[in-house]
Amino acid sequence: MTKVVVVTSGKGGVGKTTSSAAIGTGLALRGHKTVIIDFDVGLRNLDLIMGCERRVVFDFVNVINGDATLSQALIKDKRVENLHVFPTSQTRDKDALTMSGVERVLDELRELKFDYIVCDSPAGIEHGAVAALYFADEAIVVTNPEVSSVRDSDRILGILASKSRRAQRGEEPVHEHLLLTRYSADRVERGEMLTVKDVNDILAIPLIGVIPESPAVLKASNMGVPVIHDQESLAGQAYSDAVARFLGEKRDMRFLAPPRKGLLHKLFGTNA
Amino acid sequence: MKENRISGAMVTVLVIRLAREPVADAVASLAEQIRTSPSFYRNAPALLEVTAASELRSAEDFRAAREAVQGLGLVAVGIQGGSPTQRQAALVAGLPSFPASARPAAGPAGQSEAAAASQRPRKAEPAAEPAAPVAGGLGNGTPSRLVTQNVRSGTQIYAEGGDLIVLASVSAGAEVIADGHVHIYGALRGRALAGARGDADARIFCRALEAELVSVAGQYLVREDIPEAVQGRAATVLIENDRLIIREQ
Repeated sequence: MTKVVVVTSGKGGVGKTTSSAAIGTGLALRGHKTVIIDFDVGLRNLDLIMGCERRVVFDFVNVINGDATLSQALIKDKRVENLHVFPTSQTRDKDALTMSGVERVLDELRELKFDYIVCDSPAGIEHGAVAALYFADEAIVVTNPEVSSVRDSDRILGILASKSRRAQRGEEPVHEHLLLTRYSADRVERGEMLTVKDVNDILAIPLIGVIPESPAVLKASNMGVPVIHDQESLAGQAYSDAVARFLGEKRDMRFLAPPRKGLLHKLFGTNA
Repeated sequence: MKENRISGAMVTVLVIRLAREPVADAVASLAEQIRTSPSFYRNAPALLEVTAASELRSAEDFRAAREAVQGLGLVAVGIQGGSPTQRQAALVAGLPSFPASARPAAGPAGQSEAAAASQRPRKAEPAAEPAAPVAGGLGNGTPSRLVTQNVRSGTQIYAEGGDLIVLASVSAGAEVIADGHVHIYGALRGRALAGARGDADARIFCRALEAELVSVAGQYLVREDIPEAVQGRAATVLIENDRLIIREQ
């Protein structure tokens, strides 16, 4: 059974694309046939994060419009078996995503026996975001530990519960998962950021991971290598944990407390 | 192709119980009552309960009664009760007969009063009156609305004509409204409005008051006006002596 997973947030800049790339890659690393689709028409970024921007010929909009076939547009990841990237158009706008077109593409991907279709949603709550979440079976809501991000995530959860296809058909609701990103244990300790408990109180959905703020994320983006490949970094390890929890495994939450600093760290700073 | 068809519907409607007195006197006493919440009554459809009003006999009488009611800003749409002769005359005057509501009239016959047929939430009835209907009870026809999940930011829920019961929390940026009481068995972080149609007896109950705004019957308090002492506490919001107050539970 193919599962459609939307990675969404409402707010921009919280790490949707980074998380889509990391989680999609993580699912493929665990042997699941996975495709990551960029729904952010006009602001194409997933191809950069996945490091396949030089191989884009056709895109999501071309396939929706029937100008290209799915197999022409899907890009096979060079690092991981079973992983495909489906880039979007940089020149069109969100209106190009017709619901019937998106449905047709998803159905074709189901026929190709993908296990997971990861939909990287654009920010906002307008058509593009709704198109990304409409067909979802699972939703990963990416939130930063600060109030505006939490409120926007709350809003998107309301939209999942009312505007998704499952909601409109009265089917079992979309499974919701919370992913807390850019978490800085130091700043939480100083009271500058919301705690995991604060966020949980408001959003009240199961937490699949806390990704610590880490320079490794920026480095990974710039290099076009999803951060989950960097298992030296805390962020990479945290994403691996999140993928495991998403798949139903039990793992203790890590990285919630600030790292203990040794003398050398105090003297030379840390790059973890 | 659209299909034209007739189907049944249950609606809430006002009932004006006319006493054995000249219609003009009845209208004067009703005007008094309507002044308390004019927006609630404006252009509201109403039935005339005429069992006690034996003066109303001819079609002419019923036309006059209809015009008098119109003068109050209400619209008479039919009658209830009365003798067969009264019903016939009313029909000629364009007022069809409606079956009596299942629940017996709360007020004693012979008293002029306006009360919605069976469904209307209690409206400041004198305490002495027995068995004033309580909104939200099952079986009395009051539509209360039950919400089992968090009310998310950007969502608005309105329980028309009854109570709203939320078993989870109401998020910041969400709005819950009821014509009756609002019960929240979680935290209230958004806005809650009880007695949306002017019922000053309506209350808001919540387990943790962190609201952006609370309002009963049009009186409201915003976050800034809510005392620090009750922030985050279980609380009831109600009108007492015409003032909106918050009482810790």
